[in-house]
Amino acid sequence: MEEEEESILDEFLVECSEGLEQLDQQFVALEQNPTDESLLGSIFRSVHTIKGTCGFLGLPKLENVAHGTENILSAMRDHDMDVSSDGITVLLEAVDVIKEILEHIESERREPDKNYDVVRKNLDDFLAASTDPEAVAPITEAEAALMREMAGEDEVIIDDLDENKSSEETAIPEEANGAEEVEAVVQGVEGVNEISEVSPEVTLPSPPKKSPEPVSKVPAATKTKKKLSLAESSIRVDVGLLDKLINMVGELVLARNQLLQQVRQQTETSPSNASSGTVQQINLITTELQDTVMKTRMQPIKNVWDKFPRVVRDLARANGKDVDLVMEGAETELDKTLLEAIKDPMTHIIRNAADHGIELPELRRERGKSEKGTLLLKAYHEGGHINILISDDGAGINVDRVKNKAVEKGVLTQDMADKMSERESLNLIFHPGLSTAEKVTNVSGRGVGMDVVKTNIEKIGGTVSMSSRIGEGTQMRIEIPLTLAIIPALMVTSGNEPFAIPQASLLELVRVDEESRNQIEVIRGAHFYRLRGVLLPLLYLNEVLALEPPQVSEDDIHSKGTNIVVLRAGDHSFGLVVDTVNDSEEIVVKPLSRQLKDLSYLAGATILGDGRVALILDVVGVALEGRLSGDEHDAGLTVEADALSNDEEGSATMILFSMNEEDRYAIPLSEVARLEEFDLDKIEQSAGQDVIQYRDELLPLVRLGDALGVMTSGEENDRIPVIVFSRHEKSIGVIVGRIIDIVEAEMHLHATPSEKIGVKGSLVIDGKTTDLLDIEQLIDCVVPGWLQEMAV
Amino acid sequence: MLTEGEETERGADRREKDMGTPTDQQDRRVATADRRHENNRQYATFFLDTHYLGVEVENVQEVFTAKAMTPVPLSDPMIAGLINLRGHIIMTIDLRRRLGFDDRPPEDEVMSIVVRTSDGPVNLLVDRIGDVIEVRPDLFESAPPTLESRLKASIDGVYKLEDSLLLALNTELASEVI
Repeated sequence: MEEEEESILDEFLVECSEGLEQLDQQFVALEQNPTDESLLGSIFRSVHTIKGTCGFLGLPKLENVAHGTENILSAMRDHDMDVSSDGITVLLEAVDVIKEILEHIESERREPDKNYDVVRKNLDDFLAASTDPEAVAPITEAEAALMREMAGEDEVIIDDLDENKSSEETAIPEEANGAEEVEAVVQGVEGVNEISEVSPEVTLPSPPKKSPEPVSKVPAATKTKKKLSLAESSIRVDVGLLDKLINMVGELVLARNQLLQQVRQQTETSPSNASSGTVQQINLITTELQDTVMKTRMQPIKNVWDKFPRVVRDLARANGKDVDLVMEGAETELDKTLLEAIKDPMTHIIRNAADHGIELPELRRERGKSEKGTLLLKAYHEGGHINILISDDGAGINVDRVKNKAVEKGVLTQDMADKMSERESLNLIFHPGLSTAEKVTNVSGRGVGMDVVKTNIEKIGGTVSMSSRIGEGTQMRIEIPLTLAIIPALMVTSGNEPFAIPQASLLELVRVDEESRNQIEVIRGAHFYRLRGVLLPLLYLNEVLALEPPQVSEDDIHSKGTNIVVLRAGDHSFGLVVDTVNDSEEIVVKPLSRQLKDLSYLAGATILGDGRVALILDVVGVALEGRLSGDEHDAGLTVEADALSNDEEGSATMILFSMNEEDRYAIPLSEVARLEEFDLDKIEQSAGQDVIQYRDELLPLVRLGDALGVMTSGEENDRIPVIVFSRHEKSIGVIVGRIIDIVEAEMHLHATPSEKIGVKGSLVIDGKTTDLLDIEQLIDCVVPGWLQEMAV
Repeated sequence: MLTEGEETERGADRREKDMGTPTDQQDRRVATADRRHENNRQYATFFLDTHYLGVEVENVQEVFTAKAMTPVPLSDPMIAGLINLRGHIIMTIDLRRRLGFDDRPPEDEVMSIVVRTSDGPVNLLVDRIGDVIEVRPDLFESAPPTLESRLKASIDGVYKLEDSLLLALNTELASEVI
């Protein structure tokens, strides 16, 4: 029997917590729309249910508070009292007390020892003060004393005379039988006028209703009906059970895949197979089942947002601000675990915005803004992600103040702060132990939080960024994956092993045929691919992961070409070379053992249709593993002159090239601006000079072969390599035969046997004789006066 | 027509049953052990090279012929890879490498023992599976100090059986990659 009672109590607690979650929001909505009768009715029913069940379960304290709350609501519903801001505040406070009691009951299985009579009295006082202000008359000491006595008792004071009214609906004090006594109750509070003044909404006091609403029974009847339909349309299910269901469906999918494979093999041997129809049906049902089961985990973001109106309202009231919370896209659905994960970070951001972001009304008026601040929450899907925007039209973030604070706290030096870009400075907000709030309030400004917000969001694979304009407001953008459980991924193989690459970081796929293989450049062992004129750094997955090279013959490799998966890692992109590119698939992400968490390239693992395990690559981790930093990528071949040694003695970085494959030339890289490749047919003539349109300018071209008096091979190719030199903001292109490499070489010059124009001498690089060119002399020779002209 | 994987799984289930609920034959063998000790412990035994090791039966989830696994590049060499065990991805540790033995000859058969640890199930690769035996606590002795350090760090101790020594493997320690 005991057990049964326990389970009833549990059920009651679950029911209450669901109702209370909605209450906060409904109260705030009611405040904004005081005439919404259906909303008021819904609130009333929630509170009434709690009160009713309390009596049944023997929880007198909870019942007492709930009853007091219900009385006020009842008065509001019967138009005996107007819905005012103050009324809502009193009611919300009562709801908080109800929550407190419920929490205690949940943990201790009994009501708290605390006395809640004061709460009840406050409620009753408010009720008495707010109903029918016209009826206010001076009260005698005796009447007041009587009233207090009654309020202290565990009975109900109400503005209702009718004894016939259901005691469940509105319990009537037995003592309050006489009209005289009731009048005393109604008038029995001091300071009634004051309270009326505080609630300016009470402009039109509703006429006093001394007779009960005859229809008071009707809402109760409809309530029962409504509740029934709600109970019929949804049931509560344990999340553990759902998770188990999802796991099992995952296994079913795998078994289905194996079955399909077997049937396919059988059909090949004996085409007349009767079972294939059934198998096809199983296939379809399984797919549908998987989709449906996955949906059970999805919940609207509304579930988290529902509590924000209350949070914002309380904060705004406490600080004397006026804040309007606007929510867009509340129906956007995301995975339950993600929803849980963003709850606290979002609360923190919203509190920050309401507390620090939005200014006081006077200040807003001074700044020419409307007194009412707006806080906008917006959620929407975009490319496999969910974006959540939280923006306010408040003061914005003063970047200098952030910097000063950071310097003050020793987070960075003044020198570093001065060099920081605006964006970098804003990101200091996420630094642990930094808060710009002038004063610490009880809600925010303690300097913990934004760093926690960032780590929490990143933990679920999301990102947070912010932008801010002084005087205009701040916007936070949270980007999170739709679900952690299933992601679209591109399946590839490398070194005979399958890998999954999350589609979110995939930019494009490029396949380079053997014929156009020369588009892959090798510079000091680093590979680059010319992708639409931009050098894309390449990483070979089998090299990065030290996998065995694919077991294919030389011919195969040639016929296969090179598969490049272009990926985005943070702010830059790179090409990942894989053996084969397979399908795009929805994969179920499985967690990895703790001991594999250190491998940066690894994001997780998944199970393929054939039952094999495939590793999921972490794109940023792969780039790190391949020693590919953003700087190197951006530099590409644009080499900064001062970064390289131009010392004629000692070593220097040289660009090696050849004109006709028999000769080798070198130019110090420090003299080179860029390496380019141009289409031959793009070369035009201008004043007897070869030119090409390059970066919105005409780039004069020089044929190095002509200047050196040697044959130039490769002219028959469509694309020709060009070395670009820049002097005094002017550029010139030198056409060469083929760029071989960029090397570090000792500058041991040997005199050339026969002196040639533009050749400084010979070097031995990689065991081969290489002519070091004096490029300025050569250019001067071909385009006389170009250098001088520039020098002017 | 069964795929190799399914055959292995079936075999695994059969063996699992063998381990979990001792057959009559095993009962008889247990009967020969000293029954006066209520603290007797059951060990699932296996071989690594010439050594006789055991893990406590309650820590064993299942046993099967090792199946193909996905290697994890750049991980510790003792991590043999990942396997799919009915929808769960489980890390596999080559116990020979973990305990500092020589690698087993490539043509040798490999067996898998999946043990339960606080970090979830872990698959251990061993050479050969032995019987489930019951041992008396008084035969236990902590690991001799002269034992090779890697091995010593992963066992609880040694049971001095009549004709051999049983190394009692600590599954928690052995499944930790150091």
